[in-house]
Amino acid sequence: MSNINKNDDVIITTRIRLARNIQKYPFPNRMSDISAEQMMDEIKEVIMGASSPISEHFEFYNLRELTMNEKLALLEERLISPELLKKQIPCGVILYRDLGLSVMINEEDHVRIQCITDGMNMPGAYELANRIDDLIEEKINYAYNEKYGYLTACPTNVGTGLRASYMLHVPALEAYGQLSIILQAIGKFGITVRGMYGEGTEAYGSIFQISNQITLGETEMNIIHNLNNITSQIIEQERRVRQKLIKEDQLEFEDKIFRSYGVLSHARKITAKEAMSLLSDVKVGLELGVLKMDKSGLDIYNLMTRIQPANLQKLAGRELNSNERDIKRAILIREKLPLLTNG
Amino acid sequence: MKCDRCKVNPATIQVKTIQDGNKVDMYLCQQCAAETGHSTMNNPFEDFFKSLLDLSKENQKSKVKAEVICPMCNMTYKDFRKIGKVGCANCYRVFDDEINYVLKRIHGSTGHVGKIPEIAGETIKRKREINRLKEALKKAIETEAYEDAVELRDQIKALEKEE
Repeated sequence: MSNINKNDDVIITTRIRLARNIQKYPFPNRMSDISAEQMMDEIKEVIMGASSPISEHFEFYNLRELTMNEKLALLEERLISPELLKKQIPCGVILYRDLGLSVMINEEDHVRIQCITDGMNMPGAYELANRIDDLIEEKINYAYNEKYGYLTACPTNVGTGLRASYMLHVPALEAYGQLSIILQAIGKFGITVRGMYGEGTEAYGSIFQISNQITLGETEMNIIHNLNNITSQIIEQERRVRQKLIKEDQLEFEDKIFRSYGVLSHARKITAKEAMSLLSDVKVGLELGVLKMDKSGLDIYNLMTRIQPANLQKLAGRELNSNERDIKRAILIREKLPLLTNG
Repeated sequence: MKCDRCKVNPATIQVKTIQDGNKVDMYLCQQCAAETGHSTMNNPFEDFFKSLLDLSKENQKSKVKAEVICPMCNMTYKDFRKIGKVGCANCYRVFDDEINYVLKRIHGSTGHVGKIPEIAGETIKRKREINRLKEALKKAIETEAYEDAVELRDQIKALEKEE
């Protein structure tokens, strides 16, 4: 049961982020355009020009050369952050999409190495991000001191510069009103909770991101270990409540799931918010065996990304107003959603 | 750049002062800044996050005669307090007292124990190992494990020689 090993009935993705700065340049908030360009070239050269076999797979995008919609599409895929979109100085991103790797240049820090993998796979994500970190470190002197470790623009990231996150799908805990209790409790363990796209964003479709808050005074492995412990407990709780829902309110639960599938498979217009919530129901329905379908080719989280506004417009190849988007979204979902085999 | 006062230590702080009605720039090291009352330690945070949102009225009223500035990126103490971010690696030395305070509040700790970069890391790794061995030596003495203690002492000596 590989699903259970990766815990992907609850964990959608694993994300690692390393914040780094280069010793000889001021941090991006005090940087001139010339230095920013120069630094971007240096990082590009180190990553894309290295003799490592990984290097040839990277693509570079200068944010100034992308349209707003292309930038938003990258944001919806979580390959860049909302902060990078707002930057005034030259900035860019180096991507290795197949591995979920992205290196943002001149975000809040000079370099933000990020790796996103499916399911619960912190060692894999950390190893990849760390490889890129080592690649840069071989050639460039990072801003680092013995006392504080890796120096960052904001003191909240200093030390390891490591932010480890899991994206969780916890519809049962949310439906039972237990989520807020758990979220309050985990704050005491130095773990924070955010919406799908990071700080200040809303949680749709019962999807939350939890990450370590502390980056200093703990080793990378301890930070990850601590997050894993808390996450495992949330997974157990979510599974327990899912089983309870099925046992105690089976008809209600099944009715809700089938209705959600019904709307998604027949709607002619749908908003992103409604679609996210209904897709969340379908996801849990599939995982619990209430809905049966040929799952090959259906990745609900991927579909959740594709139905976001910028990705829809990218697919259409033009700008769409909100009404047009709702129509396109409904079409896309109808196309992607397989027929039920137990309908 | 050497410190304008002691002429020995490297200057890490730029201080703007008014002398006889004229603005004078001085570049000082941490120690001289502290001795001349320009250390930022004189103005510790009451509450960092509160200060991010709202500089206290008292502070806004007071006429600041001397202001600490990072000579590398020109970040002022006031800016640092206001935005809660630093401008460069050198700011960590210039605003060390405040940063120390803030880090303790955020992370509950001020000492890095994680990854060490390969290039610059040899000395740091050695120091960390020496500290680890010293701790072990202390424990060995406490538990009267003298044979272990002798071995640990020799290891420490050998590493210190490399420094």
